[in-house]
Amino acid sequence: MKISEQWLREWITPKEDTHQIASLLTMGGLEVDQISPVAGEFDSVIVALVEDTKRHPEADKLTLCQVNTGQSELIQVVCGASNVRAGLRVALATVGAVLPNGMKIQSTRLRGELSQGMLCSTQELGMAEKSEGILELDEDAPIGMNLRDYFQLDDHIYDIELTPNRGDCLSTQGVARELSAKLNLPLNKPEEQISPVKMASTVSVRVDAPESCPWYTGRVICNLNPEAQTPLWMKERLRRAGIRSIHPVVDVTQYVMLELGQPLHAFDCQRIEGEIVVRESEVKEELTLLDGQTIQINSSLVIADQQKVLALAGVMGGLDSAVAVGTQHIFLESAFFAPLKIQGTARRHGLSTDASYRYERGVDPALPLKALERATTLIQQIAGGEASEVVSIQQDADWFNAKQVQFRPAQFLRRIGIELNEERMQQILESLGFKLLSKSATQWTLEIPTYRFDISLEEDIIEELIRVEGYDQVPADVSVATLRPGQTSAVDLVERSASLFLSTLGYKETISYSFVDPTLQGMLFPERKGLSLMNAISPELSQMRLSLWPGLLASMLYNLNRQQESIALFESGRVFDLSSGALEERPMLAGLLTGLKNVFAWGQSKQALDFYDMKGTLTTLFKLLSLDSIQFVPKAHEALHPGQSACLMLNDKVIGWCGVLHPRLAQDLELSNEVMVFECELSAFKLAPKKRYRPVSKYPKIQRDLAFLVDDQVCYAEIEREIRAVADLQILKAVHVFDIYAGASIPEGKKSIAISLMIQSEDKTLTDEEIHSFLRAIIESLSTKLGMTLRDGS
Amino acid sequence: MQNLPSLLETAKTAVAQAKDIAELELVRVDYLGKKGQLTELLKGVSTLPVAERPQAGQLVNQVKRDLAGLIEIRLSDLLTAELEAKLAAERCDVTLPGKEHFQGSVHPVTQMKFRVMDFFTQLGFDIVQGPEVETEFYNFEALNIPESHPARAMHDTFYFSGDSLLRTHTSPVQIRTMEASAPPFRLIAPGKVYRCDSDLTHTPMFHQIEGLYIDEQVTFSQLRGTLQSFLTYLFEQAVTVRFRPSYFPFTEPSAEIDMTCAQCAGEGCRLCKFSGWIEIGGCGMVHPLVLKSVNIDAERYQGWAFGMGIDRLAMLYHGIDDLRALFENDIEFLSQF
Repeated sequence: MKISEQWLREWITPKEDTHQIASLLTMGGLEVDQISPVAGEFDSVIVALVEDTKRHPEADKLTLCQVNTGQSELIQVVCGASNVRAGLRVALATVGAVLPNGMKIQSTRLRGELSQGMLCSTQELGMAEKSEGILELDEDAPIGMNLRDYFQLDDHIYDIELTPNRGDCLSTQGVARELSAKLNLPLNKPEEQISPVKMASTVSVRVDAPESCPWYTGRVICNLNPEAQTPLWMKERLRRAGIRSIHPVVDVTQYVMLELGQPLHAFDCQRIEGEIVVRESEVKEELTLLDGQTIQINSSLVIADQQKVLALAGVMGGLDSAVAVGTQHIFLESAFFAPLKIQGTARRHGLSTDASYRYERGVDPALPLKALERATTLIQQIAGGEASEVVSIQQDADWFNAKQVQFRPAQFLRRIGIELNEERMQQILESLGFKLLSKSATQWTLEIPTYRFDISLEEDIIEELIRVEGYDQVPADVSVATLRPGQTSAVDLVERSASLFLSTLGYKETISYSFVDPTLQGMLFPERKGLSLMNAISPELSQMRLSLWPGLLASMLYNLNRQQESIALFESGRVFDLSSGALEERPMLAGLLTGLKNVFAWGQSKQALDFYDMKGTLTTLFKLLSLDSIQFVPKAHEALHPGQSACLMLNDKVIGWCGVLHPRLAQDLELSNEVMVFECELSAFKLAPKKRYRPVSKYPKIQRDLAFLVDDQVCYAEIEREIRAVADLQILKAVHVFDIYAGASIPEGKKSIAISLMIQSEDKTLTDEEIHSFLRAIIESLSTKLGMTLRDGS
Repeated sequence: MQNLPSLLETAKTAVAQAKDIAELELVRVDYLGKKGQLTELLKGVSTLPVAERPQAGQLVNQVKRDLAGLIEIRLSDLLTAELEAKLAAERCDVTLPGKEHFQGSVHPVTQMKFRVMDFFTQLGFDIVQGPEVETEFYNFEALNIPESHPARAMHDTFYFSGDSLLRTHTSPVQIRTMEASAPPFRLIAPGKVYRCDSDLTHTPMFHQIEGLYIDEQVTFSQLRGTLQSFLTYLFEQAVTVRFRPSYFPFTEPSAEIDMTCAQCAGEGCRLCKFSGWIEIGGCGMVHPLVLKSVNIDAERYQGWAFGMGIDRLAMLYHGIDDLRALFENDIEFLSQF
């Protein structure tokens, strides 16, 4: 909401300057988002009268103006605006003036003609973003007067961002009320005038929806002067609040709304057929609104006559019954509508107006009549006319009964932690409009002002007190609490160790949106169903991820497009799985690897990263997390290369996948290098078990290398399993592969595999015979079970 | 025996001319070996008349010792020369780059999350998590934001069909935790939250940290104290926390949390719009209606809650001025942390 400082200072007279007032408002809960001057910086601009004009002899679009500046002699000014004409009062920037855009006005010749100043537009004066033609001043503008004085331009606009609970501050009165409490200064309310009643109302009113319209007031004003103009001061106030002047009557309704907070509406009496009825809309009713759009009214409160709907109550009037040029008789409405009703109406029709914004947040139920009188007075001042009696239909509703709240002063100290004496509490509450109805030793009964819809509990009173006393009075105190360690879940701890580990290994952590492109996700998981948003920002961000892979692939593509060749990424986050029927959110850890290894090694050929680089990352990670028992089981996955994918199993449960992206996908994504991906469930990694010490053997370690010929189909896991099954595990310390070879000198369909065994006893030095028999058992078993033959030289 | 002096001279020349250890060894064998010239001479001593033997023996032995000494010295010289040659040959350009590993990084938002968690776990706060797909009840109603509340319009919520939505804040975690056990509570809930908003200063997903402390004597003033020490820890510089009155349906009183601008130390700069203050979150005393919704006796228990954007904290800490860079995952960006 925009509010003029000058206007505020009519209501209250603080000694604080512009910025101090802004700061007081902000620190009182009315956040001043911006302070802006109402016009740009300029001086030496005066009101002047164009006495005579003639066409510039050398230029069609320029006019030579003889301008009266209040001095004895006229001056000549060359003007390019098309609306310049004799008899017009204008804003003249005199020689020596500097305009807000930095332009210095000098006496100059334009195409040979002398120009001793410039006629200004509102834009040039920094009073509008944009304007056409020069500013046209009123006929009574005093010639020679400084324009700043004429427009009272030494003013600022506070742009206040109000929280939704403070509907009571949506007016100059409301903001002034807050300041008065904060500064403990009196309010200068405008004098309340009652217009003399000249006649009975020619329009009668019936309220058929008393719940939604607890109070409806209105009156007719006849014989308005159709020629009347909105006075400059009012136009300026509206402009400063961001409202365009339309018609004197409409301008007054807007002005009173800005002043007191009560939305009003004026109907052209001649468009009202029969009595006014405030009722619920009927099926299939239509209304063309003031802004020209025609709506189908959907279960809303309307203002209607016998024939048609006139207005969407509390939101917007209809075009047909609107006050317009030439309107002479009006019916002026000032009502209290139930906030929820107006909110529903506005939402259903997608409308938000100054009126609905106020009604939704709650307009003071005590205000309609006061506002009606105020508007009547102003309309009559501007356009004359005779006022009828007031039609007022008020329900016996709870809205009009003053509400009470119980408050125990001792609770203030308990909640806030500081002392405030009771005299000060009472003073604050009374300055905010609360009435202290009764007071016992421990408890006060307070009456809540009718405009405070946000107060109902003791806590609300505590907040009012500390808000006005000042949040800056609350010291930064130290908490006293039972000593205990904070608990962190296993998933959080594992995520952290894994993140630190992977980053040490060269992987960069990414954070992707949890909603992904369903097309990419569909390419990866054609068989799976994703959870879709109903109101996504864009189709590319419309489906909840089933895996972290779509995000990682998108990040990889982003970086490949930016000349990155070798990419190692990881991410942790939730995936949203619907496969069990109900939605499961599962914290996952995933990674992606592509490009070249030994990128930083000069003098060596660069090799492409492959499956085993990623697998090495994973197995090292699993060792770090003490999860040696995770198995890599060869298995096909729809997104992965069928020959290079593995399912990660822990205790017979699938906890993740890893592999090379399917060549079909790589082709679709136009990838030139292989892309390795992995993903596993973070919750599968329980915390590492407590580690137990075992003595280090004092006896020598023996290494024996064996090379076998084996059928190409036999996978290494089977070989190692067989070795471990037959060997004495007390002395077998480690099994390593150190070479795999196929090709020349190896028969077709076979491969050579070289395995290194580390043997050591805990309690003696092994004899040659013991070592020999240990190896023989392994060799024999591998031969009979897997058809492996020892190669020569082993 | 009369040849002895010339033999010694020849031997000396041979030692001096030996180019390497192998040649020197040949010289040694030639003179001092089992069948060497000096060894043979020594054997010849026994053929001399008895009277001459001691002196001759002494002479030969003396020459033998002298020669052995010379060989020893020569050997040492050759060894030194050989080592020096080896070292010279093995010199490398130590200014060439080392064979580095890829350098990884933890995302700045995650790093900030870890730091926040560290601070609060040290103060005895538990880290808790809640679902990201929430219900209207937990995200709004239990937090005193009924359907009709104007504050709902301020939350641009992502909806799924049915009752579910993406949580717009981490506050539902408060409700879920308080529902599940009994007070006192001291907890921190970090996580992703979502709002249907995307422009220069908003991303549709961001990260929040929620704090909740409920006990019998927890005050608004202690909230300010806790946040002040938290932010001082986080920004590694003296920070003042300013509370500015605000409105959240689930707290009363409510405050916006401003802290001294970390960039200009409160002097005023473009980052803080020359106010000296940076807004970093919201907080307040938990609303009694919220406590009531989870069956906590609001007469006995009270406490505070706060919420902050982790992304914003990370941006302030590192001086990142483009919010969207956080989720583009550009390696050039990620490499900086």
